[in-house]
Amino acid sequence: MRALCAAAAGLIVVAATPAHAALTEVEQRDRIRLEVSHAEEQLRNSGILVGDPALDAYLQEITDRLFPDHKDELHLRGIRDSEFNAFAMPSGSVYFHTGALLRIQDEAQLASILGHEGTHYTADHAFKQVVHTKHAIGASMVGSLVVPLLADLVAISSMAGFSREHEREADQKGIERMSQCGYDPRAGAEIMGRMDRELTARGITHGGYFWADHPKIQERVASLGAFAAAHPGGTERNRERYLAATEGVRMETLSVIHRRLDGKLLVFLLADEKLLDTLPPRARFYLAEGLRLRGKPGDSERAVVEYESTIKQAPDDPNAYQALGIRYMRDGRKAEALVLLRQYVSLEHDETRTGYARQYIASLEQEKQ
Amino acid sequence: MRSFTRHIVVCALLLQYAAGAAAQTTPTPTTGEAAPAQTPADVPAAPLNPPADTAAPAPQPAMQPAPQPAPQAEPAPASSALPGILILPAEFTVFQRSTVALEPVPAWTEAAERNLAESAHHVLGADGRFRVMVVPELAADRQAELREHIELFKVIGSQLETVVKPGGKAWEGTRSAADYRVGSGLAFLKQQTGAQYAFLLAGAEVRQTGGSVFMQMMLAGLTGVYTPGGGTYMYAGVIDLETGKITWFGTQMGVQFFGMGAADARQASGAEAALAGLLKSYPRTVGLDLGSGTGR
Repeated sequence: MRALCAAAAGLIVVAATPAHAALTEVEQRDRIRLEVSHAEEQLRNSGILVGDPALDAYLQEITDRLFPDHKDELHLRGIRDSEFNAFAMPSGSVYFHTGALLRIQDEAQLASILGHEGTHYTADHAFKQVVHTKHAIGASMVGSLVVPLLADLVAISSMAGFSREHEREADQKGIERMSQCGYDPRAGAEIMGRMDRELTARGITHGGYFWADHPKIQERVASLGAFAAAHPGGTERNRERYLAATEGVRMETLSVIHRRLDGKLLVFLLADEKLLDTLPPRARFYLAEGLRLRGKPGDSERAVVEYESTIKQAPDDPNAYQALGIRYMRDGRKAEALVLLRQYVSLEHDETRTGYARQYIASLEQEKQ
Repeated sequence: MRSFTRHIVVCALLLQYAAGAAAQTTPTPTTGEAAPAQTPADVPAAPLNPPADTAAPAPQPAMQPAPQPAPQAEPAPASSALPGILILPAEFTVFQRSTVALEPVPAWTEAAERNLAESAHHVLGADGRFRVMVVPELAADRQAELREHIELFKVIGSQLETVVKPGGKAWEGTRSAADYRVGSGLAFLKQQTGAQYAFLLAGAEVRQTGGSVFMQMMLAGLTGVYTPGGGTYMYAGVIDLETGKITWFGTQMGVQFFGMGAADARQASGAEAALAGLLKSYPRTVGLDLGSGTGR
């Protein structure tokens, strides 16, 4: 019986090892390349790529400045997604969520993220992780013969730990790159601090340390600050240039969050994080809507104030007229509601959006008579 | 910031799930409730694809005669009078499942796509109802248009299989309401080539390593439960280039047991056998209300 068990164990060891060991590096890279090309094709066909040549060119320009030694290898694309994220593919494609562009406030902060993602590519992290993952799974299969559950936990922890090492390396090299290019390296800790505050405000936790594929945010804020202190020199921010280049896409991202009815996030970003200061006056409408949707005590009254401010600051934007008109109508302020709804209809060029308002107007006019 | 490894692992899990689901499905071509007018009770079910090393895939007319009188089905028409059909490049991926990963293999994928396209030429050419044609060189914008339509076909194809196929009265409405068109955007191909139809095939194949098969045997021995880890899944359609309507649709699924069985599209003989099985029901689309093959 012992011999049988030993033979089975031996076969498992043999079965678990050659699958990755037999592949050459070229073969492994080819497989990754094919998988990535499929994933990128799906992204292209999904319709979520922003596809704005001016925005892509701007992002590409900053990337080329950070990575002149990889100028034709790294390619930037914007992804229409309101979350704070970006990711690099082993093909050299870097996908930047518009949600990240919304939260960033200047070119130095942008450079800190591009430097991080570009480093994932230049340091070959994807390939290393695939190989490490295969080794870890193979080892856990063999280890399971002796200590079944523990071997799995060790393997998962090993994979996560390996990933965390890469994140730290990407943070460090990214800061070095941006500092060398003249950007203020303190921007890295700033943007990571914003992410930390947002996760806290939204009640999103990172999970247990041993299973997390990224270091804790607080640790990253501290280490980014330390890296910046070690690489002083750059002072460039280019805030106005960044805000001008990304204004359209940042406004679009606000409307995406609005359509998700995430009032809490709108209020957090626009009021608590003061992003309103970086956006055109019509963005205040989204703060008003955020307050209305969040519905905390006092939010309703604050929303009315913000609608009124929007109309004062952006009188050509139709949205606040409609929202405030409906609010007044519900509050019984029918004469004021009628005026606002008429103004909304006159300003809104898209007639398909004015149906409800026209019905309200007809009903209010009927009551008036 | 999101690690690529997580993506790989998620993809692997999804594909494993897909393979598991495939194993629970009857390994025949399109099943489900037959459309009353077109699918009599004696519709022949295509057999499982034979394993590559035992396949006897001499090119042969795989299609059955059309049940209704149709111009294409009439005997020996002049070849120039036959409707042209463009064989679009196959969209097929071959994966290797080892004990530690499920990964696409470029060399196998290239071979399978080449073999399947060539087999489509043979099988459709031998059928005698089409004039088989190849896609000409296209300008970049036309290539992009074609690409979009191929992707749309793949979306529709996967939905036809998973949403429309299940039988029962509850699905009759779904079947009749489904939109079997990819739009009229491919009409330029008709104008450019004179072809009336396009044939498109998509799918995937999972081949297991010896180690993976061994681990499955071990698990089956220990738990008494066996889950196949490999197989082939493909679907194909004949699209009317003028209207964009999918006039025929078929699927083929084969499951490997302990690494054996199912077509091996990496081999020419396996691809030929798979195509023959896939097109066996032609021109009837079993379980769907698509009309009689070429739409006439």
